[in-house]
Amino acid sequence: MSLKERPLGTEPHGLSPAQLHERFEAIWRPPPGLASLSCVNHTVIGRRFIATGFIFFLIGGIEALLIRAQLAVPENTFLGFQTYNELFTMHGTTMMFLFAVPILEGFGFYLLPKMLGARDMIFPRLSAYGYWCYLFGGLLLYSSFLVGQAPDGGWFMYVPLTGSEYTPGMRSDFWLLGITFVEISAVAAGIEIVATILKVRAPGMAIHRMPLFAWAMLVTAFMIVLGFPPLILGSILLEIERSFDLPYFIARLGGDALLWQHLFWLFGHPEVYIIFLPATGFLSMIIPTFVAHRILGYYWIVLALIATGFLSFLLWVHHMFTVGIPHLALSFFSAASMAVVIPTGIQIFAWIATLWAGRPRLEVPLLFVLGFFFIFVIGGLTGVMLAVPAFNWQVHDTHFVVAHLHYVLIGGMLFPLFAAFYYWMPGATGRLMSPALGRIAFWLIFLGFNVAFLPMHLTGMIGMTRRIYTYPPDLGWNALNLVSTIGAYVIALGVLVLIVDFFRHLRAGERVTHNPWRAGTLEWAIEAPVTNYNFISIPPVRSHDPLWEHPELPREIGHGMHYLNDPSAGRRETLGTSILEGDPEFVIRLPHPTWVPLVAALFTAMFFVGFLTHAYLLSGVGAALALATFLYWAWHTGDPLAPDAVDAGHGRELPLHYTAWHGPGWWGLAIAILADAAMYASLLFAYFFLWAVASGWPPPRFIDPSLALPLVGLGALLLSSAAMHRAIRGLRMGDLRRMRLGLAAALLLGLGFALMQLVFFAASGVSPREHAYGAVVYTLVGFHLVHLGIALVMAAFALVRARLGRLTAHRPVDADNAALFWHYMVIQWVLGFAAVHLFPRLV
Amino acid sequence: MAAMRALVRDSLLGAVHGPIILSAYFVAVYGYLSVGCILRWDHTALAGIDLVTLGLLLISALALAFIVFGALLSARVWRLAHARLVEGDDDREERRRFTGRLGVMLSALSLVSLAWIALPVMLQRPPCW
Repeated sequence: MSLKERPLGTEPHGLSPAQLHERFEAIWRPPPGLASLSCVNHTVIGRRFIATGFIFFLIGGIEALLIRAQLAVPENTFLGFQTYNELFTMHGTTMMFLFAVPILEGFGFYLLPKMLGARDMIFPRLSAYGYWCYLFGGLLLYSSFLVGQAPDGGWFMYVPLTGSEYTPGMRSDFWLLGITFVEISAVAAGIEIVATILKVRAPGMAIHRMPLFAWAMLVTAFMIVLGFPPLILGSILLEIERSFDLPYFIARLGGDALLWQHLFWLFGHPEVYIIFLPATGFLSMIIPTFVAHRILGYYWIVLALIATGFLSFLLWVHHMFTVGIPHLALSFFSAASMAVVIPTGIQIFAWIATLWAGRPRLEVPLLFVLGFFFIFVIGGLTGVMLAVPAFNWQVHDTHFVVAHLHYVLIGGMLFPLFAAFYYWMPGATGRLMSPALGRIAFWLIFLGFNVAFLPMHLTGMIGMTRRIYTYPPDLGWNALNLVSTIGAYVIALGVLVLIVDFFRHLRAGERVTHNPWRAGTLEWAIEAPVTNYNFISIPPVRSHDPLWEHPELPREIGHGMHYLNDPSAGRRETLGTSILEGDPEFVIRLPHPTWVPLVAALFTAMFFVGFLTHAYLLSGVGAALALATFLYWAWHTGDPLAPDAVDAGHGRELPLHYTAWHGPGWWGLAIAILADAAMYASLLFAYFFLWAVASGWPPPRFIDPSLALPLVGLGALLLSSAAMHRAIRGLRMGDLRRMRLGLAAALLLGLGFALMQLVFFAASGVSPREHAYGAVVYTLVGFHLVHLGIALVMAAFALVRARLGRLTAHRPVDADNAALFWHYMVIQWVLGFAAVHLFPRLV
Repeated sequence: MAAMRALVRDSLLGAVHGPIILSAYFVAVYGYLSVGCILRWDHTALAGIDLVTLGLLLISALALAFIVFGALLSARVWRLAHARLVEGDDDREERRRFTGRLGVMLSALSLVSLAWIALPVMLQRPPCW
């Protein structure tokens, strides 16, 4: 009799549901007290992201209230201009980098495994490391207030204002380094979310059955992976310019200030959609539940998510319409900005159709959803107005834009976020929040928002520019500004009610144990409050709304009738599935609590603090210790004593992921390479952009006539790739000697190449400080050398593991990953070689 | 050709070929326009059309052709999967029908976007003004 056919009450392994629960809890329970800091469980990490994000939201909100207090009346002296500059800079920075993106990632961490039918994210230690980087990065940024050096250059940090000439001291450095630190967290989360959605789903959950929130997060995570690297690169370049005088953005030395704007907005515009798309995922989950009807237009919503993701990368110049760009180029970006309305409209019509088809229950989450419709559509319409260059020129940098962006971001993100907060809270705490207080909070926030921001359209149209700390009384702006300020404080009151409701419900909220909204998706199959392991057994999924199709599913899961129902190994396990069909491929053994992520993040913080204080020795030590921690982390990945395969339930024996080629780690690395490639592409963009716009670029004397040594170097690097390929073939055939020889040959050739590069550039006479050309060339070469260094460490690591018997044909992970990175590193230099050595000779 | 068919039939990448081509197209036209204007290619004409506009038209036509080609492959995957599904329930074919249909619809949207973006080029507006 198969497990599926077993009647309820006849449990596997002779354990009752209560006993299974206890056994799984013992495996998955986070450690108590201070040791909980070593926790890597997705529920805990997700909650930490959400809680920290919410605290930053409150801080950013207080900054907004101070800004509005200053603007309430003309010629106000409540805040000086310096404090005002610091507050608007930190308000924007906090809301975009420390609140919006991390809190949505937190929801992703918390919800995705539960929705996908997994027990955890695919890389729990990376989740924890990402959280610590986020927290420490945020603290680093805010520590600037303690030393009187808060950033004051705007959340976009435009040069030359933020360069060392106009902003001496550490204000810009705090921003650049703090944000880069936080972005490590964002990119880590992006990698993890993509890999989790693609590789860790319930059996049978093919991509056409994935919950729409997972689709939204998949597209968002890809956007993070591709969209954040340009800003990381820009921040690094500006920090290098400020600290070491390499003139990337200084016009008189061959640089260009517009390069910063391009790099910033290459990130900045997708960022808006990175914030918006997860919120659309919330809506697609919440609306069907409250109308008791499956979502209409599933295909269309997926199409819209993907199309929005792509189109969002084609709009960045619409933030730069006033900088002087050929009109035809303006028309490209204007057209693309308008085209993005189509997929957004598709989603809105699909949600309206679903509301129309069902019978809406006007609970608090749905109220926030309806608020979203009203506010976001207004923001979308003013967005189309701003996509028209002629109109954009008129209102550029005015309060009209402030109104537009708040309608889009608060309407498009905050309202769905509060809806999600009310919707999933019973699952998290086992208690309902108050419908009455929820309604009060909604109406205060909704009305306050419109009172605050609707008048800004008018103040903007009549000429009030952004970022001015006060204004004369005779411009006709007085009453509108006062109304805006009153509205801002009404929003704050609404948020206060929401906070009170949250703390009240923890003690006095009505208790629920199971699916209070009668929803159809898998996360509601879990008991409330949530268990640490999510599912006693992982069920097969054959529809979008498995609980509606199969109401007995929660009981079957609880009785251990599906996959991975045996806790006897005492290990944390989840299923690894194929990308498209969701077929079980292997069992993934996940790490237990560990201090490694926290320690790695502390050393990473040491690196950033050292850089900030110009204590480069401290910085170097931090980097070395962080690297050592990562190696320790990698060394303890895998279990040499584990069997090659285990019983997965349903009569299937599956291999453990340690034995798989292209396993979870390989996928994680592949996605990380995608992020890295986006950064390298941005650097190449910088090279060609400066060539195109800066005069006399490159200076002829900087171009070395001899190609001999670079060609020999390139040849050595290509040979090293062949050696690596041979090593992998050897490993696949079980010929470990051949593999070790291949790895050693690749190592030697790589070292030889590094030596040639150093000799060549030492002798070239090109100075990185004299001209932007030298600066960019040195950066390209340095960027590649860092990657070569990482590739060498990975290859050496694999070689040592092979020597010790930890790398074999049945445990191929280290070599599999080293080879992938090595080939990528070689491709990187082929492009670098073409840019540095061939291109200047061709033009 | 076989590799392209396999990509469209059995990979997520195949379903999103339309937006990928659109993105590559966008980078190409923006890059070509910038370089062409700097190098004053708009001052040289071929068959009565300046070189910048001509290049932009060629890039647009090429991108359109690629998107249409991909869309046809996706349509074939969609049609075949749909026909097999009529005969019986099959997870793989259901998924192929989904990705095939997604590929066709994304291609259609990419085509519309491309035509919309290329409209000023087709109207032969002065490119470097």
